[in-house]
Amino acid sequence: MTGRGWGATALAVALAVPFALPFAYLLVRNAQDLGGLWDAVSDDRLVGPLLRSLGLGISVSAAAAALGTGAAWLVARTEVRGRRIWALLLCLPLVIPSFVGAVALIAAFAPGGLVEDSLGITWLPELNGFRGAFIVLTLLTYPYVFLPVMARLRTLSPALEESARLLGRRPASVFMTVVVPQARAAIAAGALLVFLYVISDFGAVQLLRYDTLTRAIYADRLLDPITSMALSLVLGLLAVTIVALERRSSRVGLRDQARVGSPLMLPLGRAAIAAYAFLALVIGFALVAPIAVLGYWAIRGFVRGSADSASVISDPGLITGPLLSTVGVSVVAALVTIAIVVPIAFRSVRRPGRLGEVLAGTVVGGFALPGLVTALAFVFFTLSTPGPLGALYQTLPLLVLAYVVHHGALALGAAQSAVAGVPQRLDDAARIMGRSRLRRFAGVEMPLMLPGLAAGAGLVLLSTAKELPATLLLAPPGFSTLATKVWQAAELAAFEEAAVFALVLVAISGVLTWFLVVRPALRSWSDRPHPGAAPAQGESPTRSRSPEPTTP
Amino acid sequence: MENRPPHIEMCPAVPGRSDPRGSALSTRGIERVLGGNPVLRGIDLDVPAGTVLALLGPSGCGKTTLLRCIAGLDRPDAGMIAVDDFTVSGPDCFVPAEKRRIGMVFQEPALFPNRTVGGNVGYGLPRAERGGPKVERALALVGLSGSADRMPATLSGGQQQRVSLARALAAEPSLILLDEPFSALDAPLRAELRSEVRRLLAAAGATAVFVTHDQEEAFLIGDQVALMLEGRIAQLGTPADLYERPASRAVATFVGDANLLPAQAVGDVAHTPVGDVPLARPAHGAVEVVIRPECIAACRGQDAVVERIEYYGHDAVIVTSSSGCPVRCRVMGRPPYDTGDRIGLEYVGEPSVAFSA
Repeated sequence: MTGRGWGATALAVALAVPFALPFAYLLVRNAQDLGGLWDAVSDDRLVGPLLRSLGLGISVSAAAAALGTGAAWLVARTEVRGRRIWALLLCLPLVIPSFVGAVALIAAFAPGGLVEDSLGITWLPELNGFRGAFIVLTLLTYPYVFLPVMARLRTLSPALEESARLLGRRPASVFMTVVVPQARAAIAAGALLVFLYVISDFGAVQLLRYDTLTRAIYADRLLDPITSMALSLVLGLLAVTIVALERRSSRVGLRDQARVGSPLMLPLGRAAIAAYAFLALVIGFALVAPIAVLGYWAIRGFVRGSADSASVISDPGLITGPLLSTVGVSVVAALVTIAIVVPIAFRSVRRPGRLGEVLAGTVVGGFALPGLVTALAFVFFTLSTPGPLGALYQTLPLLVLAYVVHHGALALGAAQSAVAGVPQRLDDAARIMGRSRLRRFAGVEMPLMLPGLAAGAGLVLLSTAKELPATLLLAPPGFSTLATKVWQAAELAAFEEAAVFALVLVAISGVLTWFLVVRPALRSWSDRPHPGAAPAQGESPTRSRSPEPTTP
Repeated sequence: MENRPPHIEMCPAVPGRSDPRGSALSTRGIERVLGGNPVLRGIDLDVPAGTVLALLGPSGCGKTTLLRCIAGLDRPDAGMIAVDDFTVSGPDCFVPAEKRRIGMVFQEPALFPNRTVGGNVGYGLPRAERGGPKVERALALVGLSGSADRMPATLSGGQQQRVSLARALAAEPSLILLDEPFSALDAPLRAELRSEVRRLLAAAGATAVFVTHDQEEAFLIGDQVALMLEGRIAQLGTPADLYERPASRAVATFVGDANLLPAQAVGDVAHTPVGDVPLARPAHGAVEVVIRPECIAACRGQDAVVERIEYYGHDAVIVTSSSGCPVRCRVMGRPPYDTGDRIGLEYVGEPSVAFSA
């Protein structure tokens, strides 16, 4: 090994350190005060929120698994018309952040909302607490199951289902005895991601007032930091365990048999109406309804005007500040993230081994930790540290660092694929021609990796733009993003204003999601699938970590 | 796949179609267009009960599409299919695959990886019989007794394909379809399974359609062979029919090695560059005569020049040029000639077939 090799390794290790900081800090601080930790975890302050988090996580995962699998089967295996359109629409709820979904639900049923005003319905129960959180989170997370199951169905050998039919089994029986067992790994992986999403979720449960761990952590952060940190550690351990499980389950992928021909498509016959109604209802509630509710409030706001001159309703120009802040901080976070993960990607792909796995695992660990917990660890750390580190509290550099730590895994997966896509022999060839390492990187590797890195940067950009808890806790005073604006307006029940910011946010997120997640996924589903067709990388960073094209 | 008539669960036998010999499978005028290309252009077949039909053809000739139509995995655009004298596919009736009682073995074993071998074999049986003797009997038939509790992934490729066959046989179907079942296996295993499957199908008294692109395989397994070319049945007959009395030039050249020699026919004799050849059917004028290389013997003479020798070990082909016309001549063992030698050729076979030039 050359001296330069050691240098690259040292660089990669140094860059991976920040990703471990929040979790390490939580461990150290809780270890210093074991009595406080024990107090917090042994009484009701933990048990209640933990059980609610687990209960919500399990029920939403189960519902999203059923919804996502059913929708994928309908689209991939029946003679439903407009297959591609349905597939596209069914992915789109991904563009709606959970807190926007919650705002829409609350705004729909609020006095003067769409439900009361237009439909004249006043007898509906309030959808607060568990019911509201369950509905919002299920409708927004089922695409995490839908996408991997679609990808799995695309690669599943049609001969299996054909054999089952020829052996006398009806389509329903084939679905239960062949399709579900074969898609089990994909369903489980998607459900684990949903579970992670739900226990990490802050915005929806906070707005809908369901006391899960994240809500308790947030509520206790000022008055009872010991409990808040203890609960953060519990939630962090839970999340890291889930991600470890998910990574293991995706590693034990079944080797597929050769795929011949296209799958049997089930004629819908009389069930066609039920099938179209199901798809339309899912898309209606998950996508159309939230946007319609927000649009209704926004239009109502602009029509009636606002007494508050500081409201975006009175002065639409006020949108530019949060808009520019959102775009600016997201772009900076994306670029910094790419710069940090590329050396780690090089180390883990070019020299596979234990160290590379540990480095990549550290970055994924940063993603696993809920954004709220990551941000709180930085808050506690800076507040309790004197000197220049302490002065970082509520500054832009610390906010960007939190984004990088939380979203690094999204970029790492893309960067690893990009590095793996550059053949080592190109580097060897350039080296034989006497180019220095830096010139080889800039002249040979970088241009080839650019599209992959851009995709990774885009995913970080998308996630940062939608990020809420870290921004709330770490943004400098007076610094607002679209997400925090939605949040503040919703807390004041200023639904007109919340709706305007939310629609802009959804539009940005929609455009980015289209280019980064939906289009690549649709492309891989179009015409005949080719062997090794990579599934949508999209928003499941823990699965795209391996440099080889991953099969679901 | 659009605009199909509704499913009809079971159709009555079509009057006038019932075959006195009891065809297990009949097809009439099957047509299928896929992606704008006519893949099947009017297929008529009859497979008598208890016999094996080998469906032979080059890749892309439509044989797999035909098999899928018979199985109910695809629906013909025209024509009808009857199994055991019940119409399963016709202009206004289509019995879905799960109701046809047809067994099928695919190129890949297509075993359910999450079920044991026994679970796979019992999959098509009524619930009460799944753990019963039928499963063990089917496994014994394919030489895998005692493997019921193993998982498919622990078996070799050949064993997996045997399980797949056992699974198809266990449900005692009216008809078994085999779609190039050995194409994924290596040559020695293929040869072994080939003769075994032949024995198995005979032992089970099964009616079967066996699709292959390998002529040897078709001849070994089929009681009858249907050669399919470009969506049509080019010839249907016994292996000897196809080889000795090909119905067309295309059949003659696809099945085995053939010399097509220009000749002048006078009644039941044709004058060819290798001498006079008796004709099975009288012809007159300029013709091309089908002459198998093993029907030509090398002898002393000066008519032909040896251009090269293709030596295969057990036999060899002498490639010669006789009056400017290439002639292949197959001999046992290694021929005592070299490139450039002059030899004589003579016809030693049965009466052959001529096509007008």
